[in-house]
Amino acid sequence: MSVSARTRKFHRTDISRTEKSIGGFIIVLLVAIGLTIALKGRAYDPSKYTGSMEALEFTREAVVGIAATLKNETDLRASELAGVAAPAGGAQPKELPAFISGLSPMGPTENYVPDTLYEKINGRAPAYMEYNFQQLTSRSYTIDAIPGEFIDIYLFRMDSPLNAFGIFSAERDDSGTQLAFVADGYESEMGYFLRHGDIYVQTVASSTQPEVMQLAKSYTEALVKSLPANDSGMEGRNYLPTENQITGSLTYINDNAYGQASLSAVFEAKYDFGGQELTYFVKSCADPAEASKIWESVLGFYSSYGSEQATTTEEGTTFFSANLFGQWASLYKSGSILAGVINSPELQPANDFIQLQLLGSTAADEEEFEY
Amino acid sequence: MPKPPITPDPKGMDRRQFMRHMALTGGASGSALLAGLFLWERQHFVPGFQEKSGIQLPSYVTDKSKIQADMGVAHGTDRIQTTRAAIDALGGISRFVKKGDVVMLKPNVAFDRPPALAATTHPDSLRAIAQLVLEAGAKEVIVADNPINSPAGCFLKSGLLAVVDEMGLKLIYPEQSAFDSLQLEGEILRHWPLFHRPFLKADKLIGIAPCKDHNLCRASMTMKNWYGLLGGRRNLFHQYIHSIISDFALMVKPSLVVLDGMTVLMSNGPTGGRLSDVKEVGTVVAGTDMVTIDSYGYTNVLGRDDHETLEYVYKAHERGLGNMNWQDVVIKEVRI
Repeated sequence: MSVSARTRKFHRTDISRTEKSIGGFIIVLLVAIGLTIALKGRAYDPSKYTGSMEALEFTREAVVGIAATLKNETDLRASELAGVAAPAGGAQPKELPAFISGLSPMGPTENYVPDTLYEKINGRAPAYMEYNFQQLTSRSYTIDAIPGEFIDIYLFRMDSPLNAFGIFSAERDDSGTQLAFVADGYESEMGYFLRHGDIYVQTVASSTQPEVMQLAKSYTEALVKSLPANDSGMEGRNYLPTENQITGSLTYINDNAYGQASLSAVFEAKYDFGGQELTYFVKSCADPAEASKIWESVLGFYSSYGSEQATTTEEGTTFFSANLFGQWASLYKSGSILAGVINSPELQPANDFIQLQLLGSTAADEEEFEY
Repeated sequence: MPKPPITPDPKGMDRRQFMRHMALTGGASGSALLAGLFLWERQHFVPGFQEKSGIQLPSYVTDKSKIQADMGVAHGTDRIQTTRAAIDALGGISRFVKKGDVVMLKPNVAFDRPPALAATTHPDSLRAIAQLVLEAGAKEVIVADNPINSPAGCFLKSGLLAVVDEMGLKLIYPEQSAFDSLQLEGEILRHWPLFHRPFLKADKLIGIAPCKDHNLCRASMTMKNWYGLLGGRRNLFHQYIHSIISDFALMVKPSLVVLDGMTVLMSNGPTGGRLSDVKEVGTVVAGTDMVTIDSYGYTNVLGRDDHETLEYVYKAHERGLGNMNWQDVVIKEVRI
């Protein structure tokens, strides 16, 4: 068989009129499609294609593990509202009364639980959650005699008086004036702030006008009378001496005090000690064994990161001092008490201060013994 | 057996014709590719290509002048005068707003706090900027924010409602129907309900933020202000606060932002509650690059550590969404 017989000859034939017409039509069509896309793109309105609830369901899938969805929110809000509307006892939440004349409620009483607290105080909420926030009751009142002026009342209920004191002291205005009608409370320039029982009360006035502040004060005083007193757990602060204590410096730290995971439920205050400001803390443990365990943990930290450590023991009391990043800690453990001065620029005043405290406690013990 | 000679087909094409056809085909293909590249928008979601899609905010940037200052800083005692001076330092409001524009103003009305506590945009800040915008010939001024908690109460107690009424501005409340689904290629923000209605008519966008301490992100300034556009349970983003704030620099391209540092909430932010938390600083900063302004504000208005970088500012800078090196931009500083 010859090659020419096995190979088809290549022939270009004439392009028919039909084929040319179809080709031309396709080209025109492509140009038209391109122009249409370009024109539609110019007038593109994204809002035409915004998501419906179905789109939000897609959102949930897109952010699963990171955030939640409106669908979940709807469910959550329903359960939260049910929880607020019918608390444990089954009773309906009460409206916060005006207590005194001259005030008119601006609206109903608002209630927030841990999951909804952010709706009222947004980014501030985590600070309250650290102290085991339970519920916020809030209401605003206009002042009848002064148009445009108002007071806002916030009752933050924490899980214990200790934690109520903790958040109260964390936010305290050092320049505030001590209130006469409550142990833990002060007057600030535009409001009243106090801890009573397990509630942290804030009364915020709309201005510094004396008439407005007077009404805010009267309201706060009446409110406090209606709240149950409860100081359980607050005894720990009695270990802090009141002499030379700087006003408004008493603080409760519920967790991770001074970066020590083992050091929780600590009372702290600042002292003017011979012209030098010292920070003194006390941790009252359940028993000496617990105190020893925490002591070992704290010493472990200072041994790892501190320098110039020194440990001594006198009459059942163990002392430890160390320098950490240029500041001194002078600590002691006695029975179930663990205490000390931290962040002191010099060691000697810190040592002198704790010796003074130990002498004081010894004297007190002796008095008790004699009695 | 020798190959037979190739005889040119009299009805076919010669080499020259072939080359011409190839060149035409190549040219057409290349042109189509170039046209595609020209028309292609990175954030352009074509309906049909994705199962679901959402909205994106257009850019409201009006001017990238190389002649005028990048940032205007004014120091003074009167909030209105100082705010005007900061914007004048940028070349004046006419650089950003033209006659007939519909201008949206976004204050921070996050809480139902009185103005003195510096937790919200001060009424005089809003008043000063609304006046300037109206003087520039704006057709309409829209004011909008989503405070979550009782918007009516927040606008009332912050004193902003009084300014809106007094100046005849249009206040848009965050009703449920005012939200649309946002779609964004953010670090954390992808699909989320956005308070969109105020943007529908807006030609220009101006953010008016107070400078204040923030419990979670250390400082709330011009970038953080856009958090108020989100709906839903937006507190869920709090654990990724720096990521989401840097995403706002991608989400929003405003015409102008103003950082009010006349009175600054220095501690217990973002709510505050005590006048002792508030300090008179007497500074207003204005500009178009939120990253630059927040970087400047953190150090020079809030007075935080000069050597410390705010994480969300750093993130936005690293993502190319702004310039955190305020020392490198053109600043015009005035005292009145």
